[in-house]
Amino acid sequence: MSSPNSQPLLRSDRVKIVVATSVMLTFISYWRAAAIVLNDLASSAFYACGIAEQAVGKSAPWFILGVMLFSFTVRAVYVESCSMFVRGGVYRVVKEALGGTLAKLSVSALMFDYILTGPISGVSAGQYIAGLINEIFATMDAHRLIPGAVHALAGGTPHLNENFLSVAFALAVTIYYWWENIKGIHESSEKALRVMQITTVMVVILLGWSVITLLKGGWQTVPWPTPANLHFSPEALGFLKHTETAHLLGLFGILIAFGHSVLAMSGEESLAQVNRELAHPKLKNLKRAAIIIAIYSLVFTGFASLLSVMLIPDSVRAGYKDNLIAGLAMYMWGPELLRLLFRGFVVVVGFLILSGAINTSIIGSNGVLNRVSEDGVLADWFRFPHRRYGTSHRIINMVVILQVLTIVASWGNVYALGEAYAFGVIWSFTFNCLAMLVLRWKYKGERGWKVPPNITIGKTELPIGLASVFLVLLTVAITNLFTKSVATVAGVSFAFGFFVIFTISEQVNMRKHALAQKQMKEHFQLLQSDTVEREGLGIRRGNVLVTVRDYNTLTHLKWVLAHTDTKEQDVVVMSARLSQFGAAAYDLATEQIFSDYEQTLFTRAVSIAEGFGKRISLLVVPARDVWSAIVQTATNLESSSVVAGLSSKMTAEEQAFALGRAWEGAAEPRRQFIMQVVLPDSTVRTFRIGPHTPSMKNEDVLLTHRLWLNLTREKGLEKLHHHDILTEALTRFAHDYAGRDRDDILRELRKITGLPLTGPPPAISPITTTGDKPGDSPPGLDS
Amino acid sequence: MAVLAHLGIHILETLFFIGMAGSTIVLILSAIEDIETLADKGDSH
Repeated sequence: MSSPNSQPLLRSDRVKIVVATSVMLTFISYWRAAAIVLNDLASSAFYACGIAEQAVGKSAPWFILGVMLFSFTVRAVYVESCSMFVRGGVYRVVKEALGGTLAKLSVSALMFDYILTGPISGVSAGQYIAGLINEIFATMDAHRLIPGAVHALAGGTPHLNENFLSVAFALAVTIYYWWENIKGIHESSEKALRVMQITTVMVVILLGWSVITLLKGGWQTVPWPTPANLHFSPEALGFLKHTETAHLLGLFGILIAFGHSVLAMSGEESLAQVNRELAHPKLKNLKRAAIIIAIYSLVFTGFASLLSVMLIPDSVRAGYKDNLIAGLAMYMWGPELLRLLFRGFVVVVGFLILSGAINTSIIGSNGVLNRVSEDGVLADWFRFPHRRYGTSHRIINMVVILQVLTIVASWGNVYALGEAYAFGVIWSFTFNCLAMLVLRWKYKGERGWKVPPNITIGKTELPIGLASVFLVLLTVAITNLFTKSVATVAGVSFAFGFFVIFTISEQVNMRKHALAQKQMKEHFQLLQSDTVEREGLGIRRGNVLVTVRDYNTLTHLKWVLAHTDTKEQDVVVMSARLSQFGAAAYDLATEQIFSDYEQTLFTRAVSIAEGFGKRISLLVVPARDVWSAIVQTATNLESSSVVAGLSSKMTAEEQAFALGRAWEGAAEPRRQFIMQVVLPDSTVRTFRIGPHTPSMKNEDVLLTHRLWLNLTREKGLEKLHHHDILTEALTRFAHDYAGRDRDDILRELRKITGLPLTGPPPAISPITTTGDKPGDSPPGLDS
Repeated sequence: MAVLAHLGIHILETLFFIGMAGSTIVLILSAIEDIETLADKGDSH
């Protein structure tokens, strides 16, 4: 338990607000963390080698393998960055190390990286789908399975325009995820784990079948990565193609080729985002996740690239440049139908993983811009919550508009998108590594792990390893500036645009925030607390926890205050400060958690309480999932009831169900409590959260009683109790449910509930439609 | 101008290969640590 770390009291009449600084998270295992990162990182395998081969020639797989080995060292940099105990967003941490200008540029590069992830993933998935459809048409035509009329109509074998279809597909999926993000979908690690399990099945089949093919049919040699074997396309030399330098490529050619392959490790930055959610022991689990990620991506991206060039004949490989793994499936040893089926499986996996990457890019961009806005370098206007869903819709809209424009502008050209994407990836890594290097001297706080080796001379420690990784990243980033002309123009324009927006916003916010800060200091006193503990916060047992989010809908707070004697029972008003995946690299600083929005929200809450002449306690908790945060807070505060307003997107039952689910997933010890949802007309729906004696319908009580009457007439059962009958009935029910009657039972229960059951339901139970006061349950229904 | 370009390229080449040499050491040392981490079965989740 930790007590609040009070700051100096300036005015005694200020309202105290406890700001919990540790995020209320549901912790995940390192396997799940690795799955989340691999959903982003492994998606590169679907397009990285195709792009690299177009740029540097047939030696490309060696460079992809080299980049995947180098990614082990970049991973080490991220492990060091995660092991530092610092608070603040990306901007704040980089600003501390490198200053404001470079920090803004760093965030701009990161945004470019995140925003480009969506279009390249969507277009690439579209290319795989279009390629499969065309292959099916070609196969059907070869076996004369296409009707003559269709053949005549298409003027030969039906053929879809891959670029058009990939753009249409990318737009459709992007718009789908735009709407999901506007509504505020909850990302689960479970989904990421399932996708990676399916991907692993594909990878195992791919590698195993490739080995059989190599043994049965031989292979083509892949030229060693020497300057003599590099054959750059004119586009791959960028601004250098018309200069003398183009003819003098020696070792510099290796550097250029490495730069064209660097996007194979895009997604590595996601490692930092999952760090905070890792279960204890955090650092060890982070290292384990990092090892899994590095080995998996080396095997998948590295070896799949190598096998593609070894097995797909040179004469046809160009036709598979945008869907290389699909091409690999088609050149395995075995019957054509089996190969086509496997290609279909590759496309399904590609669809799953690449579509997921589109969603991750929107979530990541939204998260980063939210943090940047909290840091004061993006106008608060962007962060204004959606009236119905409460999401930062303006940021989401801006990100998706940029992605849609990029998709349309690319017109399905995966190569151009990949080149541009590499700009964001390499500069984002370079800035992060530079910040870590500078923080070796500037940051004196806790640091769990350091990139080896480090040599100490006198009192100075020289970070040899970190500096080496930085040198590689910097030289590749500078080289890419000259050799990737499209990326440089697009990336620099984008970064400059964002830099201008950030700079102007910072100037505007500086004045505005200075005033807001002054007002805040006059009215509120922020008390920082690591965790939420009842004794430490001076709150009595059996309190009422009121959750608030929208300052326009505080009817439920008024209802609580009208029905609670605060001399007898404390009222705690809680706001969860949500941070999504993609924004979680660092913990929030206190003033970031209690932003101007929370200030407005709590000002309203306090004025309502003052109107009732009652005292309330105010609490802000950072959280990833609002339901888990409520359960954790209610448990820690030993609350008797949780009161919420009606959600704009859920019914009261759905809210209770979600809270019940979170309760089931919470760690022990868990406490049961009442949840009350106050509807806009002030009627109240009450639910019990956690296991409890169920409310029985009158006819069930009568049936039990009738059974008891009959059974007690039987010999030897004279002393039978009502509960003995229920015990026997439930035991038999459990036996039947575990046995062959399961389906019948489910069918009957579905008839009763009228709903299909999806997964185990949480322990919730609606018990009334009105309530006299918070925590009250109606008489007669307590079983 | 050409001399400057050549000089720039040589500087980049040199720094890149120094960085690569150092990164190889990072790779080897972190791989040894990785094996130790994987061998340590305690506190797994």
